[in-house]
Amino acid sequence: MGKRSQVFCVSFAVIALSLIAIPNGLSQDKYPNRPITFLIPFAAGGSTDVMFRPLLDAASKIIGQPLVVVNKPGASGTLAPASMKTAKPDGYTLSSCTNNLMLVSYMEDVGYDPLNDFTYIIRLYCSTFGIAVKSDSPWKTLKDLVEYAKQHPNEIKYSTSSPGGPHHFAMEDIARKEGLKWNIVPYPSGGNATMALLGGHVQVTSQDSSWAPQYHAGKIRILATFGDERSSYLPNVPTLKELGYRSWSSPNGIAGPANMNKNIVKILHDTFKKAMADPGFNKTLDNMLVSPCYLGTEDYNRYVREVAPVLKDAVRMVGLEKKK
Amino acid sequence: MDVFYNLLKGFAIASEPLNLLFCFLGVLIGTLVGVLPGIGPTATVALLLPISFSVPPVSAIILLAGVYYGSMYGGSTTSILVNLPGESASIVTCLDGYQMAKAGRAGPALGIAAFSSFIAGTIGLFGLVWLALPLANAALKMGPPEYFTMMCLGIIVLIFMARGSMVKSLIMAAVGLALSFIGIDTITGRPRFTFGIPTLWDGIGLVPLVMGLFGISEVLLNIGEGVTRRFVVETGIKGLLPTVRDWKDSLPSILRGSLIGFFLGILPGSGAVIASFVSYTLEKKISTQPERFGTGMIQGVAGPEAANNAASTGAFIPLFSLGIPSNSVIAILLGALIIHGVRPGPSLISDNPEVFWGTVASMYIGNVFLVILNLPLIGIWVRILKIPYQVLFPLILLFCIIGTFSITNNLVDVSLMILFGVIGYFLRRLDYEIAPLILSFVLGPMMELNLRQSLIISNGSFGIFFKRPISVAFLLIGVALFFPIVWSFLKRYLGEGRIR
Repeated sequence: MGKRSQVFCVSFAVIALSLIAIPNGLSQDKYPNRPITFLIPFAAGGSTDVMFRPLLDAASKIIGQPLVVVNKPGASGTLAPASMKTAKPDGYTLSSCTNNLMLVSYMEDVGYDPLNDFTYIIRLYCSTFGIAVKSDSPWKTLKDLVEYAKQHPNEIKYSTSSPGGPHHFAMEDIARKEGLKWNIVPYPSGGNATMALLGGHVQVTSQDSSWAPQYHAGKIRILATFGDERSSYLPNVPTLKELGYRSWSSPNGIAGPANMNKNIVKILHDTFKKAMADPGFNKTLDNMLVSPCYLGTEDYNRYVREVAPVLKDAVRMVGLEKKK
Repeated sequence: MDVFYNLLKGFAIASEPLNLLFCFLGVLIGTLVGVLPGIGPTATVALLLPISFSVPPVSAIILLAGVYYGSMYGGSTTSILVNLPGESASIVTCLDGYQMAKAGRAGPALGIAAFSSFIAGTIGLFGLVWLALPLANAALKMGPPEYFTMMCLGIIVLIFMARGSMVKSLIMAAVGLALSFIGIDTITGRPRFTFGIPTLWDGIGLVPLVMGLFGISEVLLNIGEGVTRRFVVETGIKGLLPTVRDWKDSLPSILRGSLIGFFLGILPGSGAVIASFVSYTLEKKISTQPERFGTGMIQGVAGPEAANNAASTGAFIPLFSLGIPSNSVIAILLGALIIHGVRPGPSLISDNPEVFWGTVASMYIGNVFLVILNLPLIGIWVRILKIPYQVLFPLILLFCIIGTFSITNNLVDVSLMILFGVIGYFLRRLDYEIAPLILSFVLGPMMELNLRQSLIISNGSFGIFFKRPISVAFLLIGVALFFPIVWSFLKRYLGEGRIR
C-alpha cells in the first residue's frame, strides 16, 4: 500500500468513525440534534402532502434541524401510524394524523389503538368538506335538494372520494334523519368525483375541497359545509349543524409514539405553532379553502377522546364496523 | 392571432436563463428517471417539489413538467436494451424493441424511440395550444358507462397483441384482471383477497409486478439457460441511427401513435399505458405482415413510443383547462401550483397566462433538449449491451430492488416483486406472454369501478350501456373486432367435426 493511499485510508476511517460518534456524543445535549423523520401516511402530491410540505419547511428553519418527509402510503393511511407505534418515543419520528387514523381502526384490524399508542402533539388545520351541486342545477339550498330526494327516492346519486369517510357519514346522516334514499357513487379521488359532477354523471358531490377550483370559477354551488362553524372562505354557506344535522370536522394534526418526553412535546408544539404563521403555509391554506383550527397538546388529546366514540358510531351507521 | 402572440410571449418567458436551466435540468433528471427502472416520475416530482419553493411558479412547473415528459423519453431505453421497462408506459416497447436489440439493431430502436417521442411531443403541443378547452369539456361527457365499454374494448384489443396463442394471452389477461381485484373494494371500502396483509389493502403495486415479471424473471431465465455471453457479441451492432428505410417504415406509425396518445392522454387514469398498447395493436392490425410483430418490427417501437409521449402532453389539458389532475404526476403539479399561490381551475389560463404559455413553450424547448440529449447517449447505451452478464445481472437485480423499495419504503413490496419474478420465470418458460397480464392489471380497477358506478347510477340496469351513443359505439367496435376470431374458431371446430 502506497503512502498516499495509507493516508487516505486512515483519514477516511477517522471521518467514518467520527460520523458514527457524533450522534452518540451529542445525544445528551438538547433536542433536536439530528434530522427528524416525518411520516406522511399518504402519497406524495396528495392533499396532505401538499399542505404539510410548506409547513415542515418553515418548522425546520425554526427548530434548526431538517424534517425529512417519508411518504408511507398504504392500507388506507394506517401503515404509517402502525410503524410509528413501534418507533422510539424520542421525538425523532413524527407523523401527520387525521381522524382517518381512528376511523379505519374501527373498520379493520390495523395493529394499533388510536387512543393509547400515540402522543397527540398539536392540531393544525381543518379541511373544508362540503356538499356541492352544479351552478345550473335547480337546487339553491340543501333543503331544496332534500325535498326533491324525498319525492324521488333512489334518483339522486352523489359522488365522493371514498366510502366510509365524513363525506359518506354526512350524507347518510341526512338520509336517516329525513327518511330519504340517495346513493353513494365512490370515485378514486376528489378530482374524479368533481369531474363526475361537472360532466353531469351525478347530481351532487360530497367531499373535501377538491371542488375549490370549480367553486372559484362559478361552476358549482356549495349547499352546506361540514365543520362546527361556517368556513371563513364561504361565509354565506350554512353548516350542517345550523341545518339541524350532525357536524363532521376533519382536522389534521401531528402525533408521535406514546410516552414522549413532555419537554420534547412542548418544543415540537411551540415550533409548529410558530410555523403556522408562515406565509407560504397560509397561502396554501387559502388556495385549498382550508382553515386553521389550532388546538394545543392538552386540548387536542381531549378532542381525540371526545370524537372517538362519535366516529365509532358513524362507522356503525354506514355498516362498515369491524366484523367480529 | 391571439395564440401566436401568447405563444411568443411564452417563448420569451421560457427562454429566460433561469427557466432554460430549469427546463434542461428537468428533462435531464426525467431522462435518468425514465432510464432507471422502478424509480418513477411520481416519486421524483414529489422529491423535487420542495426545491421549487423558492423560484417563481412558472420555473417550478417548467422543472417538474420536464421531469414528467422527460421520463417518457428515457423509459424506452431499458425496455430495448435489457427487456426491462423503465416506466409502465414502455412495457409494449419491450416486445419489438428488445428483439431489435437482439438482432444488433438497438441503435435504430433507440433512435426511432427518441425521434418518435419528439414528433409526438410536438404534435401534442399543437393540440394543447389549440384544442385544450373544447377537448377538456368533451372529456367531461365521458361518464362511467363510456369508460367501462372503452375498457372492454381495451381488453379485446389486448388479445391481438399476442405473438403466440390468443388463448394463452386471454388467460394472461384474465390473471391480470384477477390480480387487480386484490385490495380495498372502492365501492364498499372493504379490503378483499388481502390474506390479512395490510400492505395489500392498496392492491399489488404496478412497479413490483412489472419489475418482478420482467426484470427478475429475465435474469432468472438467462441464468437458467446458462447464458454467459451476450448476444451482441455474436450478432454485432448494426448501425446507431435509423436508416431511411426505417424512417419510411415508421413515420406513419408515429403519426397514428401521436394522435391516439394525445386523445387517450386527456382521459383520467393511466392514459399513457393504454395509449401505448392501443397504438401497438393498431400497428399490428393494419400491417401487411402482422405475424412479424414481436420479432423486431420498428413500427412496434415507433407507434407506442409516440403514443406514450403524446399522452403525457395530453394529460396537461385537464390540469390547465379545468384544474383537474388526470394522473398522479399531474396531481403533484397541481399541488405545486397551489403552493405557489396559483389558483388552478377553469380560469387559470386567463388569470395566469404566464404560467400556461411559459410552460407550453418550455415543453417545446424541452423536447428539443431531449433529442439533443438522447441522440449522443445512444452510443453509450448500446455499449451497455457489451457488459458481461455476470456484471449486468446483479445490477439489474439491485435496480429492481431499489426502485421497488423507493416507492413505498416497504419491504413487503420487495418480497412481492421477487415472488412475481419466480412466477414470471415459469410463465415465460411455458410461453405465456407477460404484457397482456400487466395491461389488463392496469385496466382492471378502472373497468370494475366504472362498471359498478354505472350500475349504481342506473339502479342496477345494464340498459345504461346501450342507451348512450359513445358507449354503444365502443361496444359495436368491440363486437366487430371480436367476431372474426370467434367465427374462425367456430369454423375450425365445425370443420374438424365434419372430418371425424
